[in-house]
Amino acid sequence: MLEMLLGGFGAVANPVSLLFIFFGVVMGIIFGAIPGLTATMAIALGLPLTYGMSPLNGISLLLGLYLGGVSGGLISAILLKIPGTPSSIATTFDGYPMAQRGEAGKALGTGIVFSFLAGVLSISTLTFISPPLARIALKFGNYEYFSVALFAMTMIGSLSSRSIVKGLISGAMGIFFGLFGFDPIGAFPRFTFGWHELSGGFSLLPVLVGLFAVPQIFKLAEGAIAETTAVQKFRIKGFGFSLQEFFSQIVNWIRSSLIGIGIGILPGVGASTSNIVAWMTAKKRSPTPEKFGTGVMDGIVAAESANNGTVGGALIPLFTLGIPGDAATAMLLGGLMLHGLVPGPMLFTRSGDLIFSIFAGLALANILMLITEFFGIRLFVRLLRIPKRILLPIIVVLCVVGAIGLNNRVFDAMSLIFFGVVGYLFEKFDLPLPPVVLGFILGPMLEVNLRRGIMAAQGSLLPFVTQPISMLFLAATLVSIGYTVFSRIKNRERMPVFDE
Amino acid sequence: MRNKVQDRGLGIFFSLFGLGVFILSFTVKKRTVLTIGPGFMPRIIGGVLLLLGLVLTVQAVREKEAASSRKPEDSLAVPWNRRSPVLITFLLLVLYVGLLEVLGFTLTTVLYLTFQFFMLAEVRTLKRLLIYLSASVGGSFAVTVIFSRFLRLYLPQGIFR
Repeated sequence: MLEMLLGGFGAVANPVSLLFIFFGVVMGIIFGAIPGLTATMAIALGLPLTYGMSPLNGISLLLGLYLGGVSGGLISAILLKIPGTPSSIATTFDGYPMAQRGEAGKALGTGIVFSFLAGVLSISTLTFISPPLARIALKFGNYEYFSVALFAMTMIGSLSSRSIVKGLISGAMGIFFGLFGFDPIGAFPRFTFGWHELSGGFSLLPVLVGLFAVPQIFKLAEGAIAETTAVQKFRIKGFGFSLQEFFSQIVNWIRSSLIGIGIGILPGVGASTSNIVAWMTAKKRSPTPEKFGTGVMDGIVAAESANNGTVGGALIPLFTLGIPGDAATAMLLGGLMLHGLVPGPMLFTRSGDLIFSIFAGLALANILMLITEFFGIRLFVRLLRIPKRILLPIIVVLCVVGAIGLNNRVFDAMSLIFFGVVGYLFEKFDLPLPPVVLGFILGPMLEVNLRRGIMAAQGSLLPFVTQPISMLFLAATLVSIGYTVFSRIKNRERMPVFDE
Repeated sequence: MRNKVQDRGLGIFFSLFGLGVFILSFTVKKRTVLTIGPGFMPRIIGGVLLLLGLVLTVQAVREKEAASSRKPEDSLAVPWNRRSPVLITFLLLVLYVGLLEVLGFTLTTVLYLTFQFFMLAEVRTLKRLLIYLSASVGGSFAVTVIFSRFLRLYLPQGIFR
């Protein structure tokens, strides 16, 4: 394995690949830093740029965008009190009070360094855990894949919304949108209504970009996105903290990174949850919990270690099972498929060299993120002032270009606008979007394995519950739904209805 | 704060939608020898949506009754004075995509960006007007050159073919 990893570093350590990674990291940080733009949008807009690239360069750029996008949120969280991305919500709790006290430099330095260190832990976990996990996943058949996909669907459906019913409706709608076009087993057209463009179904890219990027312009028009923001002034010398302060955070860093990695592996709960869980855990474990939220270094270390820890964790199910954990990894899945790579256990057998090159690229992206954020912080802060009324329409144009370029047809741009409206309406009605994406991606996996499994068992559903791994995941599905319903009923008894 | 009336409407909508998908699934033809045909999954999804829609409706009705004695809830709907910009943005996007093959990418993009900028911002001074115009023209040409010339992507040429 070590040999393959070294080979991976050799493949990616060339000026062209490094330039693409660097570009990805810079753009990712910019998207992460500007409130309203996310890592998911950055990857979405980066996809058309990779059409003509080699798979390694293309994927490296996308991973740079992902890593930078998750980390860049700390800049606006600390300087504006607005998390650039949901993964930096907890960073605002202590980051902004520090900035108000004139310690913005220290807060930024802490966030940057511990983001990097958490990245090191999570990428190492990804590199060393994925290959053995993929070997186990090789033994999966129809029953196991169906149960794993169902587990992922229900997890994301029940955890991504305040209402489990709404989460599940979103997931079912995602599967519905994936039903159009040729049926995945018999290749017979379904719901095409005589429209030949629909025979191939909706492409993944317009669905993802439409759901996540286009609604932003509707929100801006509606006035739901703030146009102007006041940036806190800052000065930074070194990383802003002493060696003693650094060593005092080691336990917090390891614990929070592990929380991030663990949460990242679970489908449905990404960096937006892990940073808050880690912050709360750090507060609970601290001898001075009352200081949390008033501007302590521990809070920033916990939040930033957790969200960057999630990056490597979320990539584990993506690479080994082909199951994305959240919207950003779903977008990465789109990128991998665009370059002819089908994520899953076979990826390690068929393209082992490329996978280790991707892991190496991710490690280099993490180093470049540290350097870029440290030296480019002033530039990124300046970019926070770009008016969104100029930025968002141009982003929509780029989305349209990406959609047209996918299959050289305007139909995909129409789908993009359609899903943009769907995304906007879903958000308006409090229907979560991540389950839609996961349903769209996992729908065919569910269908193929369910139908094949039933046919192989001559009409019986019994093997789904008698095969050990399948049974395990089905039991986990029931437990997760049961637990979510139970804990919400319990919480509702404690809380008034209007607090939901 | 959730709007229970809205949730009830949403529940009814998804119940009817699920019922529609369920009925439509029977129109999917099965020509192959497969025992489980292409209509199988749509039938399941239609049924699931119907069921979830009913659960949401019942939940909303029950919670509304329970909360009726409390203070009235906020509406999630867009205020009337902000609805027209959303609708205009939607129309601009539909026109933009619809005219791409007629007028070509560059010209349509210039027009879309110009109207969208003017709709989102208050253009009161000549300086601002020039900034937005140059952003729309410059942005459109930059995107065309980068993607069409350098990245060799297909972009509709329309009347300039």
